[in-house]
Amino acid sequence: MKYHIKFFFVYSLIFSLPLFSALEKKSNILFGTSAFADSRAFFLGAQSPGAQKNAVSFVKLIQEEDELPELKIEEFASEKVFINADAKTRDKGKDGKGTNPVYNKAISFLSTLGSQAIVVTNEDSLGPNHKISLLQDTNTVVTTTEKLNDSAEAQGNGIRGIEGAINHIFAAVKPSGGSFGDDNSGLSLVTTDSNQLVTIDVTTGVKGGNKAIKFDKVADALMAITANCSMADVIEMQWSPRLNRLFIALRLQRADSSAVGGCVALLVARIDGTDKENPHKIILEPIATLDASHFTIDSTDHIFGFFESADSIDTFASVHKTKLLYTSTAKTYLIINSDVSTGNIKNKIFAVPVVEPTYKQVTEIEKVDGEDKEVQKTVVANKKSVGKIADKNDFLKRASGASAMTLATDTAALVGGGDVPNDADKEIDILFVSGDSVIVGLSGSTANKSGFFKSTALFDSHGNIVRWTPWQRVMGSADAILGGGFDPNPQNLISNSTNGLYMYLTNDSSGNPNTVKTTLWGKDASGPLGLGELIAAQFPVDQGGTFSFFDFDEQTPSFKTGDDNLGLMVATGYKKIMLIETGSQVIGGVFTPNSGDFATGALLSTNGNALAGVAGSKTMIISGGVLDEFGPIDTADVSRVDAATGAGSRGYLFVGGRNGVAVLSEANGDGWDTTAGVGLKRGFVGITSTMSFKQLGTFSNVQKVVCDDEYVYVLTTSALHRMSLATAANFSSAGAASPTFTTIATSSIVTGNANSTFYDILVSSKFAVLATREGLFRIGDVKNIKTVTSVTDASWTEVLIAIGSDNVSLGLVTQLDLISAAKGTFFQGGELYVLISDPAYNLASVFRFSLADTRTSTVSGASIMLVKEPNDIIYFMSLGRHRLFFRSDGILVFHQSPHHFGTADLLNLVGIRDNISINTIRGFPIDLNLEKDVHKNIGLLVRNSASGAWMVPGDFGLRING
Amino acid sequence: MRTFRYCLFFIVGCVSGGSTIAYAPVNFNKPFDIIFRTERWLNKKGKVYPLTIGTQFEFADTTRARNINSDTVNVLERYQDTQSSIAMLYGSQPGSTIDNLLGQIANATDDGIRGNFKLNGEYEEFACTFLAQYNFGFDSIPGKFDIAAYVPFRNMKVSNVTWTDRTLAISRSDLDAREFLTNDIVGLASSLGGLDLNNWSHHGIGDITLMFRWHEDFRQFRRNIRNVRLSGRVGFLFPTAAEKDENKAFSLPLGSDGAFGMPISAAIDLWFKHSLKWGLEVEYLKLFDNTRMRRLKTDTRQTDFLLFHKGMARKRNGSTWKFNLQLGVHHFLRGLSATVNYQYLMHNDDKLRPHSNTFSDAIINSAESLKEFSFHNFVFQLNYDFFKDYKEFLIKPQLMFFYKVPVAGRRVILPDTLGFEFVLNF
Repeated sequence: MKYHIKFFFVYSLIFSLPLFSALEKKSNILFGTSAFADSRAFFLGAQSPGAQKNAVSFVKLIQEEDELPELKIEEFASEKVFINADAKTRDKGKDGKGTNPVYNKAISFLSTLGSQAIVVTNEDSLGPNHKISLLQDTNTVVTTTEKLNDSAEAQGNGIRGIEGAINHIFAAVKPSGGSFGDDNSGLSLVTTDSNQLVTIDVTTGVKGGNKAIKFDKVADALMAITANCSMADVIEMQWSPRLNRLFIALRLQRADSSAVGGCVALLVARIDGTDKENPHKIILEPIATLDASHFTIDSTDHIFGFFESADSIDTFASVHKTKLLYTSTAKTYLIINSDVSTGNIKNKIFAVPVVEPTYKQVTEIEKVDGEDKEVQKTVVANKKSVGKIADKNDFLKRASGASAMTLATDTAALVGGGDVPNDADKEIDILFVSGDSVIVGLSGSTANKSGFFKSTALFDSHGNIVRWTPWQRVMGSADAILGGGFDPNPQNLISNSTNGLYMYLTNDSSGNPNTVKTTLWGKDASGPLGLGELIAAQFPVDQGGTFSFFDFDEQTPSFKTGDDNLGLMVATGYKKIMLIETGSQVIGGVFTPNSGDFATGALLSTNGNALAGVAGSKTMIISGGVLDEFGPIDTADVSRVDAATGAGSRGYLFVGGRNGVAVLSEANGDGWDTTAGVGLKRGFVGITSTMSFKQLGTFSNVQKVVCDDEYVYVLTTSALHRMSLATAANFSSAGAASPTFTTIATSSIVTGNANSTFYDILVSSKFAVLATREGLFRIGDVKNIKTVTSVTDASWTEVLIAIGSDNVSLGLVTQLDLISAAKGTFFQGGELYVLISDPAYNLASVFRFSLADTRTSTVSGASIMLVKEPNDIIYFMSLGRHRLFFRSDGILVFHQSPHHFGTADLLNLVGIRDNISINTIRGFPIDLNLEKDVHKNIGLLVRNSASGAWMVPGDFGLRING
Repeated sequence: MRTFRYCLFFIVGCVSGGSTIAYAPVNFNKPFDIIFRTERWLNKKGKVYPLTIGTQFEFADTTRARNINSDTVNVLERYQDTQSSIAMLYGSQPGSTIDNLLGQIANATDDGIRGNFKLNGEYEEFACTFLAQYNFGFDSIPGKFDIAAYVPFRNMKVSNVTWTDRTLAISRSDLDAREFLTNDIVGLASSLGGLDLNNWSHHGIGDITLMFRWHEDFRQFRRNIRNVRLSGRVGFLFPTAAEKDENKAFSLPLGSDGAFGMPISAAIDLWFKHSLKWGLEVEYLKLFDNTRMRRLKTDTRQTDFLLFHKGMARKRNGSTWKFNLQLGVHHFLRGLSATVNYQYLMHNDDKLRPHSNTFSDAIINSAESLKEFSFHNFVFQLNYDFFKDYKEFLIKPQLMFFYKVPVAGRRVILPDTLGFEFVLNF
């Protein structure tokens, strides 16, 4: 009986507790270093001595059965541990333990080796920053027992940096009596393959030796071209397990700026195991051949190096951080945070292709049972080239000549399409890659320079990166990021609410670096005045909750720029919409995501009229009037007229659904003022109380309303219509009922099937593509969606895919989703994801296309090209069952469906990884904390561009990941 | 000459008469069910009466059935809680009218509410069987033999059918489903699938069955047991009954749905002191394969009453096992006997084999109506034999009344039934 009562109590507790997004844990310790491998290996190093066992802490996300996930900061530096202990010592138990060299120390350097922590403290028995300790667990530590020697085999002056590799730890060693960068600075290595860390003579590979390989600054040796270089006290190392290469980032200049010469600030190291007796030799090489012909003289566009004339200009090649990106198209790029200039700019990141290994079969003689036998082996055929800069036109070979070098001015190279949103002189706190995206963690002084931001690679038809999306905030917070990372699928947790997990070290409210946070999927944690509660109240489950969210970022052309700028979301539901100010820029401030209280000052209209916007209001809810005629509202868009060039200079909000389209406008047809310097402002200022929703024409079965440039497009199940925004009369009280529009597509003519259906549309400048029941159709060659005059004039052409020698139709295309190359609009093209989902066959797959920027080019077959996927598979993903929605942000892929014949995995997540398309991906279902048999419907999730949080609409109202 | 007369009577009895008992998933008795077995009496000369003729009746009216979970549901919910008008469109030929309609609602998912109908209806059945039995009087062969012919007639009806649309009117998908599917499901089913979703009724002859029986008594001289009777039956079932009308959603076969069959059974009866009687019979019915045009699923998610496609398919009928356990008091008041029977019937899965590649073997066999059905009944029975009352009469009547109470079942219509039997022995 007792058991049942207990069970009931626990059960009730668990299922009555809402699972809110975000977890937080604060410590008394101030942390100065961190290292993140995945959510199971996130280590924090104490800033100063006195932290005792928390000198090294690890962050633990745990979940007991029937409990909610919990975040903990746990001690990892026990006072008494086995140190370099053999089995005999361990058998002594407690008596075999000694004092942990890390215990109670301040941590200088912290890195990971799998789930173990590599630590260098600022004080140890060998002297400051000399001893390397590998904390294998809370009981076991292995360490070096002597100081690492420099490249002259003299005792070094300490360690400048560490990096773990398989069974090895690389260490950058300061020269005897000097600083790093001085002569005899070197790269050393210790092995972890015994019960202590053993030093090595890396010039010969002899284990037990102790000699570093030299960072040789002499001309034409390692990093200097023609003339000697000098090296700053800077180094950052990054091991790539995929390539088995260590990338070393340096800051270099010519030793004599009046001498002709250059520097390459990026080196590649590998462990040469050719000599089987001494398999620890380090081969250290420049990432590009030291040849002046590889550089345009006096150019600062070469990302990691330069070659200068005798100009006496102090040019620096500074590489701050690197990461290896292996794209989902199976291409390898080195992500380089670098600068070549006379200064020390730190907010630029580039992607440069590097040579991948190729393999060959060889026959070797090996002793087997005492006899020599021939053994077939697969070996790397091009090991001298692996990891070196590739020819940008042919990734299989090394770059040779300046024309083959990737330049900072190449659109394919500049990650984010511009600077990282950080001060130029401030170091990027965290740099990592996930999926096809580069993610930075920033801790800038203002909200717009703080948080995680990502840029996603966009591919051409060969699968090569062709450009990058602008930097976009992710994660749902503007917290300062001092350390941490991202884990698409945390292991060993019962709940699926942690998938797509950001985990990070940040400051508490007093600015102390002592707080760890993670994202979660769940209810909005903002409390009774928060957005979650507001939406739940306004869009109750018995009216279907929310059907859709639409995000309009702060760069939307019809919004005010600079001061008073806003980010906007529109939530749609049954006969009702809600405008949400997701972020704003107060006068003199910076653009800052909104959070917390969205209810105070909410503007509420129930007669179909708008209310006058008020700075400070974060929500406006409109129902009644013509919206009552609409029933479910599930499409919305705002006009995107470029204030500088667009006609009309009016901003409109369009909403629509199965029963038609309505526009928010004044009686005379005007929208909000979008003339240069005006636009919609924070608090929805620009929208007036005399504006109301007016039904446009007699459209029915409206699938989508799309605004692009100076037009609005209305897609119904059977036709596509275009209206000019310049004609205010179309949107006036008198004219809205019979607006002037041009029908530019009908499903019967476009597809040739009288019973066909249009499902979706994407408009991008001159280009447009339609998702239909009979396939994917684009506007015809040299046509312009803005100017075509009729269905036949548009010359709609089916986009076929080549399978062998056949060109085949995609069939039932139900959804289009674009990773846009621009913020605010879709007119620069991007990467188009096409969902083919057939409910009858219960199958869905996704294809991706490269969509060209047609602002200045004409439309042709090349405007939309299927991206080449690895392994000769034509689709991007096969989802294995019918899915209604698909969305990718280049980090994660989401696929969704409402309840369908008992299948209740409403939202699934897949982390984009190497060769994703070789598998039939089902992904991981996400626990949204829904009520069984109550919540059954879900809409397409949307990123809140201001906060970066994912927001999920459905009959539950709102769920977020943030 | 007398033998000829009996044979003639037998044949006439076989071909005359009205309605049937058949093998729809209903807990009605088969005409050769053991509860209809009457006691055999000897005449003054110690010989058996050679001829028995009679008639059986059973009738019921119910809204109750048991579903796959053995829950009590409406008779039209025995296979699924709801019928999906979305799934009914799946698996059509590309470009067909049905496929075009599916294109209109491609984004409407089936969450168990949208596009789903709650069905209500009432089931009525009246069964009447004429039987004629010739009792052989072999002296040279151990045991007693008889041969019986059963000519059943049946009147079956599914009435007061209502299709209640559960679809909400909130989301786009709801409205699409309503407009394109559920607003006129009866008209849609008729136009797209030639399927009538309305009430159904039919009457006619059932499957004529011949049964050959042997039984032998083994007198016991123990303290408690008086007699042990072993018996066995084997028969042949002719598919004379009307088959299921494939154009009527709620149609049921009046018999074995066109399949020949062979019933076999074995029984043991024990007589105890104080007129107590105990018996057990195991019956096996083998229905042979048959091929005809049937309504077939084109998607596993389809529900059994909304199938729009037909195709030739061979049906391998599952075997039917029935167990009857009885306990009674035999002739405790002159010719009056009272018996309580427990019956358990299980019909194993039927299998279809399509005759073309248009249909998938796996999909068509996912129909719930092909899956096993079973039921448990208690039958309360009163028999009266008039042999002692009409000793001088040439014709000896026997009368039996029963009331059947179902207690459990799966995928089966389970009414309380009432019936009686009246036979005459010559």
